[in-house]
Amino acid sequence: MKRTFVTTLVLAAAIASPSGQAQEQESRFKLSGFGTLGLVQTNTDQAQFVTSPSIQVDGARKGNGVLRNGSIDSKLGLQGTYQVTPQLTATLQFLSKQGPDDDFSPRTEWAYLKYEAANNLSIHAGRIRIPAFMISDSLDVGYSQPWLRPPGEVYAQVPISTINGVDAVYRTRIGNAFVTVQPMIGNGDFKFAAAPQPTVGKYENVFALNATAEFGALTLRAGHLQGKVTVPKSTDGDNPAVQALNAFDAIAPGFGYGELADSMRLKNVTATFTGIGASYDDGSLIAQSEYTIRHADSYAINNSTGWYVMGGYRFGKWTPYAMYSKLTNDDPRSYVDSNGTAVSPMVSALVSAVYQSAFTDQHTVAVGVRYDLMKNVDIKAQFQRTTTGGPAGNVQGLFVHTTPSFAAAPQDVNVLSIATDFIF
Amino acid sequence: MKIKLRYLLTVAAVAFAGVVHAQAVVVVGASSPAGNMTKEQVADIFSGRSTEFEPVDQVGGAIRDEFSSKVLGKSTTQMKAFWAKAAFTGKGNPPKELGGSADVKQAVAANPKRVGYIEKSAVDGTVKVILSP
Repeated sequence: MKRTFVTTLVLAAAIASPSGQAQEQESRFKLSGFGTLGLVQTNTDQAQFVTSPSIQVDGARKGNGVLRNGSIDSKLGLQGTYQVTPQLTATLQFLSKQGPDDDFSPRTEWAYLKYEAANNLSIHAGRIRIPAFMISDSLDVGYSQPWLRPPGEVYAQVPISTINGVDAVYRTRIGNAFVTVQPMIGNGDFKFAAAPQPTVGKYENVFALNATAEFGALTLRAGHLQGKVTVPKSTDGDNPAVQALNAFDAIAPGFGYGELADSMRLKNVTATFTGIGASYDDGSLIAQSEYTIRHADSYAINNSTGWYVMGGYRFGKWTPYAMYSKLTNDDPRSYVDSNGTAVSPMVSALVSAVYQSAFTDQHTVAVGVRYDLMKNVDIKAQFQRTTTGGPAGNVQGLFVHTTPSFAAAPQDVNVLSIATDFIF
Repeated sequence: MKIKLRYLLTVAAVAFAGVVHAQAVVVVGASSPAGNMTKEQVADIFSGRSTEFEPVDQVGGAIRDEFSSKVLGKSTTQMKAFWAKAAFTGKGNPPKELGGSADVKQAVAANPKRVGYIEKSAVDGTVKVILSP
């Protein structure tokens, strides 16, 4: 009996301290994860709150159950990395969050090989994140962010997050600045929320350029993204704008509006997204701001400008913050075809109706606090007041399932959110 | 009188800090081709920005706190948060952590590509000091 006990101890010790070889093997594969459990409550049942209207079908509203209102911010990510050689790493990341299918079916966010080509140059190939924003890479890792969620006024403008392609990350020091330049090319599919069912679009010939300069606590960032967007013909028979578009598509070529019809139908439409940003973190004081512009060569995708300013301060484990964010859609005064000539009043009315139906004007004042509960767990609470804007009848902001009375004129909506973020 | 008191407090604070903080120096193996480095160069190596050298960290304690604040300009907690984020943004994994200055000396002496930090008092012929912050 005693011998058995000693043997067990020796065995346990042997298992607890594996040989150097085994340790080396073990450290080449790393499994990690991140997640958020959140709950959202609003003061209206006339509209539903979503993180992005192109990604989430149904949102949070007054009177909804915990499951629905808890699905807005909740997510789980799992990531595995394998060090193939000292220069070559393979990374796979799955993310489960409420998406266009209105469920939590996991999606491959990352599947790439990273090659350290030189001391200051790495290449990624496979499915990678598009650097559209300042925090594109860690967009879903709530734990890495001071706020409860990134402001939709900026981050809902681009519904695509990944690309199948290749990029190069070049790093260098210029004076006292640490500079990173990242060009990227590729193609991809994107699924977006649409009635009666989600639609899969394509974006091709994508080119992105992202540059950052770090000066100690201060980081400056500039980025540009462009590509050709194609979306299949909608089958939403209930939507009058879609019906009108389909009718227009059928007769337009005969009247010389073939190109306009193609652009309204989103056939190979050039779209760009450009942004600048700055962030500051000296350990106590945090601040971040971004200014972004979306542009498309089609009246079916609104040109918009989104920006925000956020500031906060760390008092030990508590980090209170405040934020203002604003999204404005440019209202074209006149509609022109691809040759630059003004279209007829009837066509102009149709184009205008489609354009205005997609207005997302709104601004938000938010205050919140982050509490660092443990080394890898935080708790956050955020209160925001969002004010919608835009043309009468289309005053929906970034809300979905708005009632006609809600969309008739600007509204104030209060949204209270609590969440816990974790990493492991 | 007030000024004198403040002076005395400052002296006491400095003396106290000297007692609490170990003095960290950045080292490479004696046979390493690496020459003297600036704080920025060492910070780049320890934050995954430069892969020319392999950083060797310490698990914790006063020496790590001093190295983090003096050379990296961040607290140890901030660096841990930085690496937690980096792991999910494809920017790499944190440096290997060793148990103390003796282990670090052994590690850098064994590989000329490695850079570590140890207590000044632990410096001997097996290592070369490339930065005394």
